[in-house]
Amino acid sequence: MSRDVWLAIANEAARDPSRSARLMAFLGDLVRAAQRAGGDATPPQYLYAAAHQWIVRARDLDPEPLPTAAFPARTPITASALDAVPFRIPFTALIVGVAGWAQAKGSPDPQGVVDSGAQFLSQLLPVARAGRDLFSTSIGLDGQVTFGTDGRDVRMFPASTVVGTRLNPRAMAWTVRRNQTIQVKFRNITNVPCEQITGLDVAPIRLAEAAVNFFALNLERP
Amino acid sequence: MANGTRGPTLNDLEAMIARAQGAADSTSLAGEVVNLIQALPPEQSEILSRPAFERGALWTMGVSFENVGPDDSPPPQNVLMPHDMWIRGVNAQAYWKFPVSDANSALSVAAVLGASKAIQPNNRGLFEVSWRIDAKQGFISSGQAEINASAQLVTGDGAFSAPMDWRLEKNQIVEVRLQSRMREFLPTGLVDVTDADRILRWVVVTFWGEELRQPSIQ
Repeated sequence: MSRDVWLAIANEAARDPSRSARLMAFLGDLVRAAQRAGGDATPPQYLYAAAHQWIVRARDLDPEPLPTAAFPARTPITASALDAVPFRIPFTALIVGVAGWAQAKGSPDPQGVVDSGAQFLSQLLPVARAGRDLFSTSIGLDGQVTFGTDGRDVRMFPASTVVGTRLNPRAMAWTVRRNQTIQVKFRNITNVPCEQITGLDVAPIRLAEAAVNFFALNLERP
Repeated sequence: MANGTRGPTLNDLEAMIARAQGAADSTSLAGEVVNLIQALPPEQSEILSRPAFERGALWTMGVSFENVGPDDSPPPQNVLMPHDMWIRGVNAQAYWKFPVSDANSALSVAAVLGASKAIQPNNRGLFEVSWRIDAKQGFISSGQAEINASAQLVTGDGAFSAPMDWRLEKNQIVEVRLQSRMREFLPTGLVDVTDADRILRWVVVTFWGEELRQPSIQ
């Protein structure tokens, strides 16, 4: 509303030379007051007080084999053979942030035994906050566009370089409409640093869960 | 690099009002004040009700390096701008291929790596990067020459994205160069350590950007 008031005063100043200087002084006071109050914006926290948390997740995700000299045709490290996980937008919303998280666990070998070394290693493996380096991800919309790219092709990158954490979500200002579909692809990449560890071929480090959380504000009437 | 135009701020408006007050003919400048008010960026509260935020599409544009040896100079990797873009931040992550063959041995390796505050988070202390635009303009330098710098210094880890403010035009290219620092982590002369143990399996540098024009989708 303050903008309308400012405009009315400035227009009046332009129209009436006899009052122009006085009105400009008054307008200056108003703008300075808005500056002191932190601009004319709503408090920044308000934008981040998203009521809705839309969580897209994959559970019990095993790693996909990496391409090697002997098997160059395997899925490249920046892609996944798995389908994206869809999320239908329930109402028109403004997504203001996105965060990720993953937790690894050792998986049982064919005899049903979980190797304790693999289990402890799975807990030591993450070097990014919230385990986001345990999986790669890409985010798409309506099957038409994927926002992870090198400019030419779709690319999946470690979630640590795509999304933030719950404490520091990646800031977004993304208006999505009811019934649009967000697609999130996940790939377990715990085998990237463990390529030479032979025991994990039998019982890989599994992701108990990999999740991406969108913080959303309802733009429809609640 | 394209010179993006930044809209007027409240400071600009305040300065213009001060000029108008001091001018002999403040009426003529009042018209300028009207124009400035109309050109101010929207109030934050207004964003909530805008049907399509013009910078709504969020992009992750990245490069990927694989199997980088300690002395390698891998070819630069390029990111092609798919649209006119506003680059807002840069982040990085590296993966070292553990030089052991069983999970129990890997435990100590992972513990040492994870405990290194110079390297963590995201293993960014294990490599250096630099970037330039259209193979011309470099941005990381010693003052005299373009240099590579530790990714810990120049990139973020996703939870903290190193801020950038570049306006790039469609089809401009960001070129990223990489240099391993594995020889600092595992110095030459270590018993039982070979260069095969110093390989960075995967390094990713991503730029976070927004479309400068109305997004092609939405």
